[in-house]
Order: sequence, then structure tokens, then C-alpha cells
Amino acid sequence: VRTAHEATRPASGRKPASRRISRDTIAAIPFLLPILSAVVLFRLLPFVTAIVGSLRSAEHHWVGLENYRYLVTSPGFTQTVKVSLLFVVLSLLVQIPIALGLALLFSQEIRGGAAMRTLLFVPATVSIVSSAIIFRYVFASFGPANAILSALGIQKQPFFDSPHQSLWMLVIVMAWINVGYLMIFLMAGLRQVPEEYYRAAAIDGARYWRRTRTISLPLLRRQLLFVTVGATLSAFVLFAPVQLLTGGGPQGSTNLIMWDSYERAFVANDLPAAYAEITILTALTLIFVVIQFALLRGGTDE
Amino acid sequence: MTGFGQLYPGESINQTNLPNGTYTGTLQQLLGAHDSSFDLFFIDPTVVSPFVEAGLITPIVDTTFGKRMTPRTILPRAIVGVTYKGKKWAMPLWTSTCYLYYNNTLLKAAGITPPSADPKKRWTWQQVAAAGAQAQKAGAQWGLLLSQPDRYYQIQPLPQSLGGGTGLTGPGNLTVDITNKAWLQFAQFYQSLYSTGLASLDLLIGQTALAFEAGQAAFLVGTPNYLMAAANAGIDWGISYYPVMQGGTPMTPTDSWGLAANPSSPNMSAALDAIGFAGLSQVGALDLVAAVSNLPTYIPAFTQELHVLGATSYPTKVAAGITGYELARTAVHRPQSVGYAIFEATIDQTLASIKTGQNPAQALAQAEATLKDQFSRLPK
Repeated sequence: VRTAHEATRPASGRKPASRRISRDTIAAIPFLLPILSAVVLFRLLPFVTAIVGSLRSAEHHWVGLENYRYLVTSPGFTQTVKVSLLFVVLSLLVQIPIALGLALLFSQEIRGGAAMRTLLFVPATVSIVSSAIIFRYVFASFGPANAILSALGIQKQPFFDSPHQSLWMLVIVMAWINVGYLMIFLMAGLRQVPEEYYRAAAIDGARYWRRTRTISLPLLRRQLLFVTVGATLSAFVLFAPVQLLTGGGPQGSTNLIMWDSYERAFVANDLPAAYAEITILTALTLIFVVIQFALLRGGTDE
Repeated sequence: MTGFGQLYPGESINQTNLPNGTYTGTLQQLLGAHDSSFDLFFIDPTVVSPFVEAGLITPIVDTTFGKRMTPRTILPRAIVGVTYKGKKWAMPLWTSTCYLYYNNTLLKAAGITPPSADPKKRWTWQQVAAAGAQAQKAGAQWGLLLSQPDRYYQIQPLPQSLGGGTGLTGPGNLTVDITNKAWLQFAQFYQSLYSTGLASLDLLIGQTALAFEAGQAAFLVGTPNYLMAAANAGIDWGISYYPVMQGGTPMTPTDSWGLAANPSSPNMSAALDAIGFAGLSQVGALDLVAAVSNLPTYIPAFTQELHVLGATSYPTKVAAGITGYELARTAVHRPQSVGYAIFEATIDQTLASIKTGQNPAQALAQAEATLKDQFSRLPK
């Protein structure tokens, strides 16, 4: 997710394929080797292990798709998938518009803009574990959130303890953590839009919203794709806040797929089922990302 | 265990901690892979039988200290906990029980006569709940707290004393049975503790005892490791017997960690020395008590600890008497099963769901279905 250079890389400077590029490539290999080996070791290898493991029994016998069959007929798994998809969709619907709105706002010359921008980015620098613990206290039944509600004469809310509110609470926690971070990428994208476009549009009489709709947003597609994919991935693999705040409950309402697979692997000690679940998670994520690419690609650079 | 190095020059024990939730699973994997990087491991009595069945531990009965492990040196209940198929597989280090702690000031303010120190007059849970509610009306913040909220360990006796069983039955304790009448009755009672506001939804394990020590709770059901803290908390407190469900037989939680040797250890002789030191010597047992304030199972150390409790304050003296009584007469072990770790995790989550309002019958049925499904995957 944290590949800032990709998102902000200037679109210009492309050269036709030539022998010079292949020489460049050779020169680049030693520099790329550390990161490539990390990708192989920490990304590809575990994924292959998961796929292979999902096709074997706990005693390492080949069992074909048995683990998948078990998983999809297992009580609660459908609920886990539904909850996970709902969480991803809600996260995107909350995070992307807010991040975009903030990026547009702070791209304007406003008083105190730099300070506010910094404040918004601060949650991204706090560890996710600390953030989760802070939220646990803020939204506890004796916490400040309920104290404010009580002061306003509103009934106390159960928040993380309610099966109807807990998923929304996770969405809020993740938005608090992510929005500032996503905003930075979108702002970087907005900075790249040549000033002349806006001036020309202004001369033609286009007002702010028109300029935003017809210039900023279309030219921001590349960055929007990046933040959408990034937010999707982080939502699919969410783990720490679930473990710290809800433990998958109440009543399975936050039993996200990553948490569920962890429980299968390390509590139920059922590694094959956990491998199968992780493989399904990867497939779901890929489907989501491919759809996002299809929707947001095209006419990005010019 | 600093004393170990003094007794065995050149030897020392280094401890590595694993997260509680994943401990048993990780241990199973390490032992199964014949990992020789560790010599000793803490073992919960509930996994002794599955570890034996999986060939992960070797009996210690033939070792010198295995032979010294008799009901005259180690508390008999604790030996039962680590015995399987007639053999002893680990050294029990600590034992436990639960008491009913109460706050005299809060009870007095509500005009309640505190529970007595006579086991024949043991209070029922319903009685404690009613008194807790009365104390809340008179100003107590909490009526009744559990030192381990949502933990099977602390509530197992409730359904069991009503005839509902431990939750696991059949050969190898591999059949889940938590939807019977007694379990439902218990679950409804558990929910009522929270729906009526007697207990706190927010206070987690460790925090409930602090609330009691701060004088905020009329009653706390808790383990012995809070005795000293309560004695030093500056509150007017007392102690009585772990309650019994109305119409049920008195039963109490027990057991704690034991120590076992890794069969793949390259330092087996030193490992066995360490087990003997920790479990069968006064210095070792008291070293462990200093580190973790639970009750030792080594009888001379246990007696000394009770003596210390007796000399500390009146309530701790009562606690010492209760401990001996409960361990001898009412303590019930948690079920030994290959599936115990899954069972416990699911029960704990189910208790949390019931606490926050899920229909108890529905929650138990869901848990039973999940467990049956997961038990079908256990190695046969």
C-alpha cells in the first residue's frame, strides 16, 4: 500500500523501448534486489504456501478442494464473507469522499490550512494498536463520547458492544486512521494539474465546481485509483482493531475474514481451513481491485 | 527462579512468553515439529490428555521427582489434574480457587448482613445478586463483579452444579453439550447480571478487581491472587465462599499451570532438575509464588502461604480456611479434551455476546453448532 512514489510519479518522461533501457534495467537489478527478495519472501512465498496448504489436510495429505468445501458449508462463514464485504464497501464510501473533500479543501489557500493538514495526518503516524485502544476508551459506556451524549440529553450508546453499531464503529476508527493519509496522495495529484487549465477554464467563465468536476476529478483518476485500491486492501486485511476492540463480536457482527482465519489457524489449530480462507480472501480482494481498475482506468495520463 | 542457579551452579532458566490466546496452538506446533530450542514449557491441565494422545509429552512418573510426587508432597487435586491413563505427565505448580469478596462498608450502608464464613451457609448466586442490587440502591457503583468476566474458568461450576455438565461429554470429551436446560438457566442468569447493571460491561479482566479494591463494588467473585491487594487497599472488606446456583450442588473452579519437559530437549537432565526444583522444593515453590501470586501446590509451601495469609489480616485468614475446604471438597476440574482450546475460546466469546444482549438460547445454539463443526476437524 505504501508506494507513494508510484502514485506521485510524473506521467511524463516516457521513452521508446531501446537498448539503453535494457542497460538501465541491468543497472537497476542490484538496487531492486532487496525489495524484490522481500516481495518474494514475504508476499509470494506465503501466498504459495497458503494455496498449497489449502489443498492438503492437517496431516499433509492431498485432499483437493475438501478444505474449501468444508469452509463454505461451515456455519458462520457466509456471515463472515458478508460482514467483510459490507465493511469494505462502507469503508470506501466513507473514506474516499472525505479524503477527496479534504484534499480539495486544503488545496485552496485557506488560513491555517497547513496546520490543519498536519493535524489530519497525525492519526496516520500513530500506531493502529494505540488508535484502537484510544477508541476503546472514548466509546466505552463511561467514556467521553457517552458523557457528551448524556450532556446533550441523548441516551447512552453501546457502540462496540452492540451488534448493530460495532461494524460502523470499526468503519469510523479506520476512517480516522486513514483519511489524512489518503488525503495527502490526492493533494499531491491535485498539485500536478497544470495551473493553465484552471486559468483557461476561468477565462471561459467556469466556476469552482465546474472546474473541479471537469478538470480536477478527471485528472485525479490515477491517484483516486491508487487510494481506492489502497483503502480496499487495508479494509480487507483489517486485523488489529478487531482483535483489540470487538474480538469478532458481538454476535459475529465484526467477524471479518482476516480475524476469522486467524482464529481458525491459531485457536482452532485448523491450518488447512485457515489457508483456504486466506486464499478466498486474496481472490475476493483481486476481484475488487480488478473492478476498480476497470472503472477508473482510461484517459488517466493525458 | 533465581534460586535454581544457586542450587545448580552454571544452570539458569530463561523464559520466553507467547501470547495467551495462541499459546497452546504454538506449543502444539513446536512440540510436533520436535523443536529442541526450549527445554521446559508451562502446560494447562486441560491439554494434558490431548498432548499425550498426540505423543507430544512423555510421562514423568519414572523420574526421581515423579516418584516423589505423592499426595503427601503435592495437593491431591492438583495431581489429578495432570494425571491421565494412570500416569503423571507434568508437575503442577500452582492451584487456584475462587472466593466471594465483599465490601463491608457498602453492605452496611445497605443494611445487609455479610455472608458467613460457614460453608453450610454458602450464599446462592441469586442471593448475592439481590444483595448487590440492594447495595447499589444504597450507593455502590457495582453490585457484583467477576474477576474474570467472560471466562469459562470462573463460571464452569454454575451450569455444572445444576446438572448441565462441563459442556463437553462423551469419550475424550469430544461431544459438545451446552444447549441443555442447566446451561440455558445459567446463561439467562449471566445475562441478567449485566442487563440489570449489577456488573459492568466495560471493565475487563484485571480492571474489575481494581474496581473492588477502589471500594466501588459490593461483591467480587475472584481468585486468590487478589487477596494481598485487597488487604492493602485500605477498604473494609471480608471474604466468603464462592456462591452456588439456587438448587445446585456447591462446586468451585480450580487448577492452574503446570510444568513439563520437552521430549526433544537436548538438556533433559537439567530440565528435570528444574521441574523438581520448581515443584518439589520450598525455595523453588516460593520463588514461583513471588513471581505469580497464586497458591503453590507443593504442600509445605502451600501451608506456609496459608500461614502468611492467616497472619496478614482477618479476611485473608478466612480465605486460608476456605481454600483448604474448597480444594478438598468442591473443586471441579475443567474437562480434558483435544478440543479444549477451541471450546474455551468459543465459550468466552459466547459469554461476551450473551452479556451484550444476544438471546441466550440462540447464542448457545450457535456456539454448539460452531463447536460441533470445528470438532469434526480435530485429529482423530
